[in-house]
Amino acid sequence: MTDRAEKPRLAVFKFTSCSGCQLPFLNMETEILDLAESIEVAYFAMAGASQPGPYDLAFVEGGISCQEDARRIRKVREESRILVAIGNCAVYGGPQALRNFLPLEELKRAVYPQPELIHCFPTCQGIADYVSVDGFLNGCPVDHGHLQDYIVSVMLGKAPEVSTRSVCLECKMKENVCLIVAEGVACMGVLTGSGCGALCPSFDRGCYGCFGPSADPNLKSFANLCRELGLTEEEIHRKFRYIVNNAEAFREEAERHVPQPVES
Amino acid sequence: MVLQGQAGENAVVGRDAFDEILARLQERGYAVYGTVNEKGTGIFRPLGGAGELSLRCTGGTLPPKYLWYPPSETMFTYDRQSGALRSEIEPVKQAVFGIRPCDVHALLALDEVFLGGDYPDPYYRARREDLPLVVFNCVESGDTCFCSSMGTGPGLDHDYDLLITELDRPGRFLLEVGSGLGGELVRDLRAEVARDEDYQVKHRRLEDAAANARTTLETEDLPRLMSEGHGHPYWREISDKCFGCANCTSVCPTCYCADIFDETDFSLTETRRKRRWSWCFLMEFGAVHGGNFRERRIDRLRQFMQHKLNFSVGQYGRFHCVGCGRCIVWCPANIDIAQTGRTIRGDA
Amino acid sequence: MSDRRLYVDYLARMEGDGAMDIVIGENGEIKKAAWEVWEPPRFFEAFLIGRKVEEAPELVQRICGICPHAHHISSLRAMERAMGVKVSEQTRLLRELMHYSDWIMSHALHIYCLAAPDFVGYESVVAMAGNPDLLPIVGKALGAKRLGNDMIVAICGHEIQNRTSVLGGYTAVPSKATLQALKDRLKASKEFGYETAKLAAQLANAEPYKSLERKAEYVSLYDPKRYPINEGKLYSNDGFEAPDEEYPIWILEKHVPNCNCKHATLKGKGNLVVGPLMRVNNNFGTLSADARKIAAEVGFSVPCFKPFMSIVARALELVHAIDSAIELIDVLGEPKLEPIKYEYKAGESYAVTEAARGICCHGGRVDKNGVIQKYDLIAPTARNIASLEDDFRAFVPKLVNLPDDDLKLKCEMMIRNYDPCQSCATHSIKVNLHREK
Repeated sequence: MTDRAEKPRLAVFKFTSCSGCQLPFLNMETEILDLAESIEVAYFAMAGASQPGPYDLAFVEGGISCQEDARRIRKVREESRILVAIGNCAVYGGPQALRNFLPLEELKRAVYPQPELIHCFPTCQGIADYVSVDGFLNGCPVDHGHLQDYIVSVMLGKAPEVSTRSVCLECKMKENVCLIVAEGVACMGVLTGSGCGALCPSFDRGCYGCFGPSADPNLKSFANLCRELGLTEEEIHRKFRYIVNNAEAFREEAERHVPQPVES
Repeated sequence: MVLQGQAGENAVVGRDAFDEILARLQERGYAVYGTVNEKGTGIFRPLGGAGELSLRCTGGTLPPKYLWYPPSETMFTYDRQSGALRSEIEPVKQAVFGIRPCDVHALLALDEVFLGGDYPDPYYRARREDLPLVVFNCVESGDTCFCSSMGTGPGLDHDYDLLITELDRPGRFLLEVGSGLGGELVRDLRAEVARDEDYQVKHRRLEDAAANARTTLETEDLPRLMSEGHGHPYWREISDKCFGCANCTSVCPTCYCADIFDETDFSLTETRRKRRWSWCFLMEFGAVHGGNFRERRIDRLRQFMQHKLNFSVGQYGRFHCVGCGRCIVWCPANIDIAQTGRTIRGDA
Repeated sequence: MSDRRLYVDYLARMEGDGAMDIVIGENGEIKKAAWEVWEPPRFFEAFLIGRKVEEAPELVQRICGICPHAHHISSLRAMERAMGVKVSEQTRLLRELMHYSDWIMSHALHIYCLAAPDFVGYESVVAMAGNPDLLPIVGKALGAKRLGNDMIVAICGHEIQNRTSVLGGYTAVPSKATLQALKDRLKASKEFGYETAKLAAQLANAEPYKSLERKAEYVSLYDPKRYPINEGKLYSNDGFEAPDEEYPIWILEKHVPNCNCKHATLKGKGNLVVGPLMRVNNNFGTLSADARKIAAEVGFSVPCFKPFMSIVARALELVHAIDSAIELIDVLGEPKLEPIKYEYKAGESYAVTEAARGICCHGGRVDKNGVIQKYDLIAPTARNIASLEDDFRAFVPKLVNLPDDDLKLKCEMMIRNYDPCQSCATHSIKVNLHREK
């Protein structure tokens, strides 16, 4: 065992999010005791660690949606040598960034009886809108294996590799039959970054893009494909404005497909 | 007649012979793979019995390439405490029952890549050296097959241990023995003597399959025409549709590129150096220090097709497209390499 | 002598961000007893309006990474009810198995990783594992948690976010072989359930925990025949009973002066409290036979109004969840892939499930095109806030002689008794964004 002083200090922080991206750490049941040998878990509120900084490696879950988030992420940045955004919320703002497309006052009135008591920003954004970020791990939630690779890479002092492959390749490696080709499903796997192991297509459902856009997504061609498959502009809009609605590529493509009001 | 078990022997057998051949391969310690009908297509799977075999070629998803060139494999392990390197390259005993001529040609192309030259690849060799092939000739062409254009099918006349062609009555097969091992697999098997008519049926069926191919590509002078057509507007047309998903390359039986990376677990005691399939179609493939040499999708798409229909001829003296049609089947954007070749050369 | 203030920012070992603020006056009176949840609002109820009905269960499971399945199943059931969609018996059983898997994971996590370190004096479960006497049980706990996760993966494809369960049914079902392998592991973990109950009883039967008692309105689902997890009536120990779709009629939310939280009250009654202890109190008779047997053995009986006994209730539910999962696997046999069929229909309804930490209600109104017109969701933690402050007021005076650090810890443990999920809670509470650090 290495001397405690030499162990890298790990921190896990939560901002506006669901905690689902912190769970992979708690779900490392078989590795967690090994991990504790080689790394010091210095800050991880949900697991009970709350040592002050500085930290060598900080994983941040959650988007920035209020003044307090913004203040705290700047402090975390100052205290952390390597700062990594994990999951849809920290990278893009998360599912709750759906609120970004609605006026804040309207949102407050819809949910809270005393809207004047609610103080938050009009949008929820990824942390890179507020601080410089050293790495991004996508996913809703983030992938356990990606986190593990990242931690090990940092411990070994090498550059972590983050794949930019499409979900399609994971489908192919599992010998899934392509849902677009065989069933005419508007599966977003062709546009989406890998990491999930092609989960939804493996269960006979089209990918809905929770790992965000792949390296070079052809959005226009996908929209054409959707039209060929009989989707309306409104349906195409909702495909892009869903779980990872605030990734630039998806956000902008959604805007190109204006939903028509549906008669109730 | 009773087969003697010699290379060069031929006979007519029924489907029950397949069970015997499969059993003998398994007795000899081979893991035998064949195409089985699954998920509405044919997928190479370890075979329990010959009854699982699908005789109709559907191309499947992944080609059998993964048997001799796995999607991901450990090259060596490194003990981080002692510094010792360990590389255990054990010979692998696998066999394919029902491989098609196009995939055999793809295998021969990979042999040149991995085993030709001064530095044969030991990992590939360990899986390739003892690899019996029971080949099914194709008596009908799939919608996207163009092996007859590429000279890789529908029949094969070399590099098989056993070659099987379905004759005109269901359940009658012409069996041709191509090697000593092939002979051993059929020794003492009861069979009918193959008559001239049986050979005539075989040749007629193969000719019909070639003539009925619904996909074609003229290969005469193709590399030169492809080079001249590097700036053809069709590239733009298809790259506008292309998703850049790399499905095409992932199902290609001749793609051989790999990415090498290290894998270490939390205990930091051992590192495994691994390689996994990679493709020129990936954005990450062209990422080098200071930039990306193939950042545009059009360049990546063109590289893939040019390599198959043009550059490979300069490199290896053969097309690295065997006309299996898998990239056409599985392209979600309906991009067709044969159509592209025809368009670039001006035939379409 | 001046006021004593116990303030803990960033409460550890619970989901989400929150703080505790207690001010004790000179004469030991409680001047302030607040649990402040800082989680910023996420406005799910607002942006769900206009979404398609199928999207709600998918989006709402992302409200909380700890109890995604409770949100998901409540939403499925509410939307299905609104449109009059009936699901198959197999789907109901699979949903139940999926939710029990979540309980196994969540209860093992809470008992060992979140709650036990307090009782035995460690900062975290990793620190606990450093004690060679505790390492074996920690190892088993992590194993049980893994089993819960593996079951979740087998049924819904992913540890955290379900991928197979959709409105009307499942897009993929586990094979018999997969379920049987899980059953073998469940059987092997029964012994661990028993050990956990004994350990929990030993921890909670120490002073001061065993003397802290406060009768309150214990609310849970109830079914006379079957321990309620996904279905049942709303029920309280004090004689209240109503169909779960009437949730919004009976459970009211009101503003209280000087408090940021909306407090939940039972119509015509008062503050209420939800969670495993409440479920066990209201449904003791339908716990599995072994869970009841173990309860007797460790000296747990109902009614029990001791909040620190919630760790025992959780352990008994762990035993029950293991037994129920085994039974469900037997009943499911070989699940078949069933076609998913439903039609859009206008309607409005609510449905309640029991999240590991208490009742979770979703509901809304759908139009004839399957577009959501209104959406409500009420998570368990929010309902406990008022009652928790009652706990502070009742118990802190009894513990007032403890030094600050210890008293703070005891108060934190009072919060942790409810296994709170603050990300969920934010969906119906007022948020105090003021914080000093």
